[in-house]
Amino acid sequence: MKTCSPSTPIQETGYIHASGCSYKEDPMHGSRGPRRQRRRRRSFRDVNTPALSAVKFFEHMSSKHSFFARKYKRIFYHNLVRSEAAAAGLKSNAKVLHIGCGPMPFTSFELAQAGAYVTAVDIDPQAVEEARRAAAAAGLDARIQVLHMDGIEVDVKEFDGIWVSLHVSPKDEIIPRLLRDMTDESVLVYRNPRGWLRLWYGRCRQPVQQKVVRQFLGKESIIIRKQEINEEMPLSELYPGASGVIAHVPDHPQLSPLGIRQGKHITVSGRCMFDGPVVVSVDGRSSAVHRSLAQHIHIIPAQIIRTVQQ
Amino acid sequence: MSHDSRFQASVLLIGPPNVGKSVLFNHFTGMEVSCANYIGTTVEYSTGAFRGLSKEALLIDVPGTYTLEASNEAEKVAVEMLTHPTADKHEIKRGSSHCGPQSAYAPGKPSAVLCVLYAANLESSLHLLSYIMDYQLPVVAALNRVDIAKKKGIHIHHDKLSQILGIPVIPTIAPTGYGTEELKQALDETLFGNGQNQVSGVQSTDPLQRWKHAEDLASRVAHKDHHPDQGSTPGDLLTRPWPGLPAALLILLASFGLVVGVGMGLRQFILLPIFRGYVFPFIITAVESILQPGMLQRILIGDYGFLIKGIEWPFTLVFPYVISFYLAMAILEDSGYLPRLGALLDGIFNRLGMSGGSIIPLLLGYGCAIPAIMATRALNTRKERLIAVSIICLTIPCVSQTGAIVTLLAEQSVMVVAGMVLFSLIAAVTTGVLLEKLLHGPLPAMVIELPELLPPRPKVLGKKLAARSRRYITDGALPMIGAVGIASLLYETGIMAVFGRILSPLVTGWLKLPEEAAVPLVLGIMRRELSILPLLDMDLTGLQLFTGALVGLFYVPCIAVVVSTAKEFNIRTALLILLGTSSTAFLIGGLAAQIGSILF
Repeated sequence: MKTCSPSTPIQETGYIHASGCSYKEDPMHGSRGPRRQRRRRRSFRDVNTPALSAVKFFEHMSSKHSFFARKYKRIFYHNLVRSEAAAAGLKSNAKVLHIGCGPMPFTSFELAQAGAYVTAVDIDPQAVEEARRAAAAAGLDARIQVLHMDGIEVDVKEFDGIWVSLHVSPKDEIIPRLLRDMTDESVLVYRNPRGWLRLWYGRCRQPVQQKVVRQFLGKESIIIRKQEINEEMPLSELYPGASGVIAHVPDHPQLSPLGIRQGKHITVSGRCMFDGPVVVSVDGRSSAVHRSLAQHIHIIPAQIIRTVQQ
Repeated sequence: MSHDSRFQASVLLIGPPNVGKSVLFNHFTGMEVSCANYIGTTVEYSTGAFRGLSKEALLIDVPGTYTLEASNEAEKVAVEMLTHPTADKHEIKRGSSHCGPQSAYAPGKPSAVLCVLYAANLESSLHLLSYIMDYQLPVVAALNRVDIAKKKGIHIHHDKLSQILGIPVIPTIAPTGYGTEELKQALDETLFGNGQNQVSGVQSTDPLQRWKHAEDLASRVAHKDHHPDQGSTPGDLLTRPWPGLPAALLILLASFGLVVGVGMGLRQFILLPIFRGYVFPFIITAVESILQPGMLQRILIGDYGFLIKGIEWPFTLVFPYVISFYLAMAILEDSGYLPRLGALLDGIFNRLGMSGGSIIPLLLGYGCAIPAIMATRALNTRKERLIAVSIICLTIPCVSQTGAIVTLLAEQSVMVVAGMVLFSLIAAVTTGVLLEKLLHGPLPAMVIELPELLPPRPKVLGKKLAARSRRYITDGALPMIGAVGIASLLYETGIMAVFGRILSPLVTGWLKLPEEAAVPLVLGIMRRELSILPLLDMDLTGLQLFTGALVGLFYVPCIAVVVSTAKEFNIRTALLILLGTSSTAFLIGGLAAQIGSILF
């Protein structure tokens, strides 16, 4: 049995294709898309070699020894998926979509073991083939259905929960799309790199209500329940580039003269480090607002906004 | 209450912060009130005779306010001035950051208001104007900075605005003087002509309604060419960690280099040769020809001869740094960079119990602690002010001290100067962290406007430098000459030797300095730089120089600073700061001496 971890983009088809969403099929891309896409792919190969070889080694070990595979799953996936499922409030027998499952879909395994019915999809046919075999070998084929599909082609309305793997890219375009299409009752979980992992995985933060669970080994899980997405959100949660209309302003003598008043259009132009102030501009006028105050300024975001790649 | 007999009218200069009121004030009165490109420069009102009107009138520069709801100190001053100005309370609080013939002002209801509107942001200016018009006084409006508005693509029909409001509205550009003549004429007409200019206010108490009114009015008279792109401006970038942080480091290093480099250059190559080559030989021959050798001659031209040291120190040692520091500061002030630095550092400053806005008083402290202490008034909480003032008094050397320290240590090596800077930074952070823990109070939540980034104008810089130099000679150099005079008297009469013996356990035992180093410790109480300067002629070792400079750095702030601290807070606070600084000075200086003597 040849297996590898879902977070390995080592298939011959290349990283982007293995990740469940490809650029070509995505009509949401602007004209600037292709160049950026290519650049990211190249930089991925450049930066990634040492980390990739480490992961490759583990994969190889997993494929050869089922004992090693069990340990690997235990260390890297058990707590990760359990904490996500708990934060997402996943019920047993829920229908879950797993985008970018890869050839060794440990996340799907964990979800299935937690009682969910999983539909795992990947865009790479070889990975799908291997994942099917792995699921059968683990005795979970009754609960896991592996499909060869592009993640964005799936009708997400059928699912109670959507899990997006860490390596899925470009998250900035996939996540807002999933958020738009999914039902109000469902929950979206995706993973962001923190720390050094940022160097080779895309990071994404949505300006909507979300839970963030810090995970082992430089990852964090973002859990968004669609019905909890408020119309309004605190200014302190918006990232640079985001804009919206001010819905509520606390009583503070300095805010209204700077234009920070109800109904005004506001743009976040920066966030200072060490929990420093949020720099905003209203009517072409810049001001810095302390984060504790920005928490109480409520904004209706203009759209689901692309956020920073750090 | 009536006006001073000399003045037949008084005009209040009111407007939002950082709109250029003080620039207009200086233009109309010929005075030199501090101006800078950030809010809170004017924390006190200043008065001056309005030049060029047909009759004598008094112009009063009021601190900038956004509203007239008296929600902070500056607004309270403005409201007081509009209704029944009682000058006495503020008169006492005045410091040296503003100068002017305060006594000329006798309280009374102002005859008219000159309201300065910010053309690039008409809305909030009109909001303030609506408050002012509620007071039923004649109003003339200056529509200032029309050049910035034009750059932003905003066109304002000032005639239409004037028509709607029923008051004269004159477009101006204060730094260049554009429109000021028309403004003067309009004001003259309003004050002494027979033109009717009695305005009626909005008479609305609901703040939202008032804003609505201002917004409507602004949209009626102003139109925008194009929407300025929402992309990040260079100003925005400076508040982001990248590239803001490296940029901040570069800018601060460049300023430090400018201060030390220009200062040392001026001293070494211009001032010192002139004074040593021409002035001192002349003085010495003059004194020697008049006086017989004796105590009097020694007082004048001896070791502490006040005609020698009293002229050498203020003019060749401190003066170059006054020029270089205020040059750097003026560039920083006028560019509008400092509030951005404040925003960038706010997160760090919060951990020291301050908000990013404290960066302005702290930097001003490198010039002189007194205006810095005055500038802390713009800070929001008392805790924040106390921490800022403590850091200024303890760890920030004033420009004279900097001059003295650099001169003292640069002969050893520039690295020692860098070591001092490091020491003072560590001490500042420690003070902040400790006081943050000790003092109770909420974390300051800063809201700060980030003004337009503007290139500093050489002409304005030159004017500022000239004003600073004049003020230094009257307020700095003359007292220093006097203090040196007293010192030479004490020294030659042998009183200083008594002090030296009393302090010898501390000075020779703990600090490992020669006995005569007690002299600067006594003098330092009078003026900060004198705690260091006498060490220059003592042939000290490198370690002793470092110890001496360290003690001098942390040692008590000068009497004037203690007095202004007592005025701003209370005597207890001032005494606590005095005690804190002197004990820190001896503790750190002693530790450096003791550890240093073991190591070297």
